[in-house]
Amino acid sequence: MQFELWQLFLVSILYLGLLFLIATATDRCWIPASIARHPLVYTLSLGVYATSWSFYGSVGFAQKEGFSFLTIYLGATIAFVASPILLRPILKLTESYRLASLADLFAFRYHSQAAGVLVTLFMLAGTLPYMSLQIQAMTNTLKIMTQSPQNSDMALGFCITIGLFSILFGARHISLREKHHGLVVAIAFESLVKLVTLLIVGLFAIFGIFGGFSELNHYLELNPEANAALFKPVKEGPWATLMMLSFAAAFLLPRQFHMIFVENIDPKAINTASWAFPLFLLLLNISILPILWAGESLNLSIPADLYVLGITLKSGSSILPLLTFLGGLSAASAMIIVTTLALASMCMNHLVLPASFPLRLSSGPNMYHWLLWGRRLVIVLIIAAGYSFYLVKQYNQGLVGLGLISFVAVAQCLPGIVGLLYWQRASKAGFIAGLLVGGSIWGITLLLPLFERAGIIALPFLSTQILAISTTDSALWSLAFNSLAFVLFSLTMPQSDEEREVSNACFRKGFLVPQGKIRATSISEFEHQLTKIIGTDIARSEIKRALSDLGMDHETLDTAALPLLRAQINRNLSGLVGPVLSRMIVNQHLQIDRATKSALADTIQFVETKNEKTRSKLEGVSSELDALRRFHFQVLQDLPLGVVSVSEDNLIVSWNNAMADLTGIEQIAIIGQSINNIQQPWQKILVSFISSTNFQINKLKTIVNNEPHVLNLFKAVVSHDQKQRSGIVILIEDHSERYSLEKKLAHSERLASIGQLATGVAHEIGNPVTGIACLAQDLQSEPENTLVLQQGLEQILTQTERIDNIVRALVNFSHIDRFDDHSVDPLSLHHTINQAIQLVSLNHSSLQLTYDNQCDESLYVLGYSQKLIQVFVNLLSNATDASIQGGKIEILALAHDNTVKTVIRDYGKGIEESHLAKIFEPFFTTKAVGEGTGLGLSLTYNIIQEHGGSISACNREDKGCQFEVSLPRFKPTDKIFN
Amino acid sequence: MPESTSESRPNEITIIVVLIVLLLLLPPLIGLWAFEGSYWLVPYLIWSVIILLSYLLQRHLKKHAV
Repeated sequence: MQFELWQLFLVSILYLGLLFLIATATDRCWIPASIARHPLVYTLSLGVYATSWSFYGSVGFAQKEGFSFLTIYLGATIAFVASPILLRPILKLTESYRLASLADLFAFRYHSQAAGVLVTLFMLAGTLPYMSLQIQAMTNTLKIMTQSPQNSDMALGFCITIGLFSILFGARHISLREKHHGLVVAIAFESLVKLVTLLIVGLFAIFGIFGGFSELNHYLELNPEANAALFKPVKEGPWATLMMLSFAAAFLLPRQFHMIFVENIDPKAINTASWAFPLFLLLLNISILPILWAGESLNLSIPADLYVLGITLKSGSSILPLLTFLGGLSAASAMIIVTTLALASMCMNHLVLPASFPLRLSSGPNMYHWLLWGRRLVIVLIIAAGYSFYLVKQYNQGLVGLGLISFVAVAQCLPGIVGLLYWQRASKAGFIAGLLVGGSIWGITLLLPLFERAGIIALPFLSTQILAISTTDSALWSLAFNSLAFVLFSLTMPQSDEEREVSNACFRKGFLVPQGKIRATSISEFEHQLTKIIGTDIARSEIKRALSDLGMDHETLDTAALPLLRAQINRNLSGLVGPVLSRMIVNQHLQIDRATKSALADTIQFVETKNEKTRSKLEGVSSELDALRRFHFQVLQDLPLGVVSVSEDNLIVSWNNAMADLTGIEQIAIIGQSINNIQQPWQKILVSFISSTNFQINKLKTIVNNEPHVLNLFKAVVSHDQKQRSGIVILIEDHSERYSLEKKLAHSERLASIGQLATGVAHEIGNPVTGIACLAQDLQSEPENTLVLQQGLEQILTQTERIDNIVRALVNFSHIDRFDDHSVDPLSLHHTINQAIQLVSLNHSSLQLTYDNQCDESLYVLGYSQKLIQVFVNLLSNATDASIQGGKIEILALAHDNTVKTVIRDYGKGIEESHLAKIFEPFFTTKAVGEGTGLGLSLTYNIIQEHGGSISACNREDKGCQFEVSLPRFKPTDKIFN
Repeated sequence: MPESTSESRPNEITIIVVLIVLLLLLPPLIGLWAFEGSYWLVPYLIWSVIILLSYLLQRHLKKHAV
């Protein structure tokens, strides 16, 4: 079976066109997202691991090394089984800090541009043999299918075609921070083509060549050495070393890193991949041995690397070879497209951009445009380099040998990964030293011999025989010295502070919290600063993007949110230009004044938001502390008291749920705001309370949303250390309901008192009315007696005034106090007690008691008139009830500096000692049922407390008992604070 | 002995599974299945067991996700 070159070229173009169509259909959502983003599609896309080496080379590898060919996939299987402790942590880092390549990851972790540059150069050098492997496999395939001598034009044609498609696939977006959904689906499709093709070729080998499974077994029985040759190298060959190399390659090869981490949409997809990807690899390899034996049984004259194609050419059909050709094309094209894409990103971020920083960025009219074309150019250059490598190494040892050279190269990053994930002390110096040492051994023992064999270079002192140790030996030596240098340099050259900070973030022991205060004071200033380096449009676009990512709005952004915005811009720019350059841009243009201490509110808000947004779980002691912090935070949040904490620069740091309920202002809207900007009446209440010298305000009455509220406020100063104040915490108790109940109860009690006074009132009003009636009769009988008329009218006026006083006293006593009547007034104690005496006398006039009010008329107290009358009515009523007919009740007042003590003394039977401790409790009464509510003294106690006073009762030694009431004294020089 | 926390448990189980896989694939236990008279599909069978272990591990972790 022979094909024309143009036919194969046409098939290739059609196939690549189909891939482009699939990618476009995905990007334009013609393919449902449920399919495009399915974990199995993601898993299939990881099949980019299987290149021409797997598709063609595995058969040759199996012929030479038996089952050792499986190590390339078993190592990858181990890496995916270990994904919860290996791949997931790396994915979290790449997601959190928008790291788009292995070089970005190391440059970020080791806080070094040099690390990024070194990894990029090393990956570039390590990948070129692998790319040339793909070119070689495809040209070998074309040579066999067209039965024409191999020439470099075929390879060049293949490279140009793949280069164009690489640009079309990979460089459609500005940067790798945009996910290439289309690319993922297209690569998944390619994996499916590879898998199905190999399975079909395997079935053809079993049923088409041998005639079935029993015939295959019969062949193995006749050729026992074929089966035995498979197992021998397992014990004798470099089984473990090869597994270690493939373990590293499974996630460190640029294409693997790109597909696993950069193109990952759903972190949970990696869970599916942890078993589905090894299953894919198993299915991919299940056909290799039947194909090998089929090729051997046919005595094909081509190398075993090409048996996959060779046996299909014996089928007599043109479809099977074409399908195999497409399978091989899938393997090669997928590898080259994704590898160039990943390497282009590394080269741009770590070679091109740092070299042109900052002139190139600032001079261009559109940075996005520049970046896009820069990446396209780098892709072309990488493919050109791969083609050049293909031209110079044509005297090499086959597909697998080339692939292993690349595997050894990427394995040099293993110590760095160990440092990244498991060794916090690992330092930049250790990583760079290890990479230089390991890379040098790799270059001398594996790369240079390739060039020497090709006749490109001559090594006069070191011949190929000395240098060219086996690939696996080179792997062991290079990794051993790499690790040694890594450890020694890490221990002897410790991390810088910045490196330690990043290391903590990598170990999830903290966040990268900006230390210091951001110099810019507004978002416009941010924009202005960024414009200097990336131009107006891009600066605006990046700020808009960062605000959108944070769910914030340009208009409502508070200065406290600027650190968050800065961090988000850093993160977004990291995805665009790499972590090092992004850090340089942000550090230079969005500067932080490290001399100034970060505002507490800023730091707390930054950490909280970061914690919630990344949802990353801290580990170790940090985890325990975080759990404790969350517990304390939750306690504060769920407290039935309103809690507000205010930083030293008057920014609100915390605002708990009770505050949100009380004020109707949600936490999200208030945290970070200045206390001067919050709505009324809270601004007035909080600002005046913070500035006052009082640490407590009781029963502050205010109106919130047209509802009356009574609040108790407390405050305390919070200090980081003993010298410096770092904020104030305010507790707010809402007593509105209790106050309302107390008010109703007091009113009921007053009404009850009035009920009890009713008989006396009727009597007291009845007497003057009778008197007025008699006087009126006298006046009627002697209408012309002027003297009688004059005296009569005077007496009528006196009696009327007496009635008016009684009615006024009753009305004053019984009215419902208004809510806004919240002003305390200076009250004459003498006058207040007289009013109470007048009321009490109404009901007890028959007892003919003497109320001796000895209070000095110059004494004033601060209080609520009606409430204090109620206090004295209650106390005098009790004294009256305890007194005998004709008895005496004395009221004295003792003035102190700030208080006035009023003593109410009776000469009755006194109070039983056992009752003295209970008399102020609600519903405690010694009176008969129906005569008292048991609330009088309890209310009295509450009213006195409300006035900031105190009350006590005791029995007197001679006779009767005595109540002492202390109230705040008012002096004419005092000011009143309501 | 310190108790494992809910956060460290997934890591511990993963390490156990990885160790089992390594035991199956590395000397000396590899000699149990990779000897010259062994059937050619045996390595694939061992591989299938490893995949099954990985599947069960993921199912367990998903079920007990913190």
